[in-house]
Amino acid sequence: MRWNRVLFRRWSCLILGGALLTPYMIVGVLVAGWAQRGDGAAALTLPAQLAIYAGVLPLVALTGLFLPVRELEVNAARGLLGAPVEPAPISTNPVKTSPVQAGPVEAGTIEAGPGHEPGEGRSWQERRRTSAWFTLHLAVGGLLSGCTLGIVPFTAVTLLLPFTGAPSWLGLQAEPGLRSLLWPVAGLAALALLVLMVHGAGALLARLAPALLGPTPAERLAAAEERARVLAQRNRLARELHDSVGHALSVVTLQAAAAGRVLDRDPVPTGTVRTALTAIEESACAALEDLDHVLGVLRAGDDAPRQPRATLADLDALVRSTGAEVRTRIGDLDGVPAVVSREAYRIVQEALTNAIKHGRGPVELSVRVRDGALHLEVTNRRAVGMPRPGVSNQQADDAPRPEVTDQQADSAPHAGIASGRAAGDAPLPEAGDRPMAGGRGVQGMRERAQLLGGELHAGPAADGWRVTARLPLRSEA
Amino acid sequence: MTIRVVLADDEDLVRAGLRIILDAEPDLEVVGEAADGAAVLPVVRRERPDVVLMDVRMPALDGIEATRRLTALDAPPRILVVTTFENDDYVYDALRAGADGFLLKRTRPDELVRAIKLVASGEALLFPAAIRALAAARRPSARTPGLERLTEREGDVLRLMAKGLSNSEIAAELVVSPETVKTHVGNVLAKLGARDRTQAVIAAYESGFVSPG
Repeated sequence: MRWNRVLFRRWSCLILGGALLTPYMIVGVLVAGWAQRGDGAAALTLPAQLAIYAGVLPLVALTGLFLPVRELEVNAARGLLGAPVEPAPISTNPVKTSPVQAGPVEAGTIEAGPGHEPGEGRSWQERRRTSAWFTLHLAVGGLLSGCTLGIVPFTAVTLLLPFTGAPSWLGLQAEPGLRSLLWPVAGLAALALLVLMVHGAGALLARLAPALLGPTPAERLAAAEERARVLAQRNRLARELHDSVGHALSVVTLQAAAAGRVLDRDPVPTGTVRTALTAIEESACAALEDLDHVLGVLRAGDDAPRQPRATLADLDALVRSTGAEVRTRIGDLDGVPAVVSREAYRIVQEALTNAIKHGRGPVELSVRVRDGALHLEVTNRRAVGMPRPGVSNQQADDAPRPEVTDQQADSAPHAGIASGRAAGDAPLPEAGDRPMAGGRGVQGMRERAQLLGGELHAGPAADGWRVTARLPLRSEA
Repeated sequence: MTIRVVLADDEDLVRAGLRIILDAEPDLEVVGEAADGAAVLPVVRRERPDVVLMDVRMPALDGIEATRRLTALDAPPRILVVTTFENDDYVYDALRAGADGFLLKRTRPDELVRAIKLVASGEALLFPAAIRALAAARRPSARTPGLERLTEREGDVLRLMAKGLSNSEIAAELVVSPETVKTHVGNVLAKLGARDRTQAVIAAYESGFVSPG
């Protein structure tokens, strides 16, 4: 069944190649007909067709250099060939930065790196590779489309010959009867040969696609450099923010302490106290503005949530919104710092989403603090190739993120079983880190855990799949 | 006896806050201020303070260089480095440059006053934990000459100094008189060629004589 699907998809990819070749062939036939002074029929014979086919391939290669066919071909290769082609790296969102405060800060802007708009700023290396692939696809696809067009009807006809005999216009010698049984055998052999050829050609193309259509080394390098540049810039901004806010808070503490000191005096020097209060007000205000500004810059391009980010206190709501049967064991989470709580929530969210998408049966969720670390565990049984009833991917993709309300945020951690109401509103991580495949989601979870100095393991367990994470409550300096 | 203090910080609000807190103490007096590192030296020469509160990041001349220049004076004042963050890379440099201890700007007034009095007395190390943490971040470097010439008792004294104990606390620990401890401390400093307790303890950590942690 699976083997069949792969074959037919690859076959349609080859037919697509043939279809794409058709305009070139038409032009070839017209040109050939014109060259032979209007003897159009001559151009339709098989040898002539093959000659025209060979003749138009350079034209295909040439157009492949200039037409923006890469995206189309990448989609075809991924969708139809099932080839693991990485999409060309897309430049990340440009982060515009401005100086946070007066100081030796270069007032630069980070522009997006080399553009990857179709046809714009394409490197010749990429063009050559795309053209090579395009030509290969159309050449192989054209040949096999031709064979398909010839052999499939041929086989169909040969199957009828023992019963009907060959009508005279067919140009075959066949009488109804046993002697004509050789025809169906030949027809089926031809069909088998065709299937073999399609299989071989499909496999060949699927093998070559990642190399020819994947990102070129230059593209990878450019994307990595750009990521590094953006990260460095963000890092610098974060450091500056840390400095300036720390500084402002120091002033606030000092001035508050100073005001506190002189309040005991008699008479109270109100002028001094007033000055201190003004200084506190202004410093705190400046720090907030700085925070606002820099966080605005750091978030530019991320889909910054409009609501406060959910924490472990919102697990109840999260579990309810999955609509699945989730057995929760949640310990006392009082001592968990906010940053750990937020990241843990996101990890649980992702793990639950994966568990519900790829597994079946009740999901076990355990969240507890032990030995100075937060321990998360999500376990469930693995699906046996069956989608969960009631949840199509489409529904899940359109599902709203679980809402966070104050009441939910205040609700105490509990232990119990939450059972789902309606399927279909599965929680999803925010756009941007939506798992494209299982691996990507695990990668994202692992990065979150590592960022906090923790670790995450995901893998097969006794009778299913288990994600475990350990997040230290304190940074281990 | 009043302890005379000079404030060196480029931020007016920080100097003003510190001045209010220190002036509220009967036995502390702020005798001068400097808004950058280069302005500290003339103020110190003129006022001969007991203690200088030194910011690290200052225009013109940073606190580390200013500390280095102050310790080169004939009768250098005690220097307390004042920073915004505990894990500031420069704190260690400042301590190596000869500062006697460091304080955070967010320190509570009581502790601030106590720290100034302590460092003025020169009898204990300020924030040994911080020095330990900072020293732990660096690998033990070359051996400090003189360590092997310490007597067993002097070695004990150095270890207790590294823990941040004052002379009288060390005396209680070793069951000897404070005078004896003072002599031992003097001998340790002389043998290590250290200017003060901070330098001796840094040397002890850096040579691995005392292990951080």
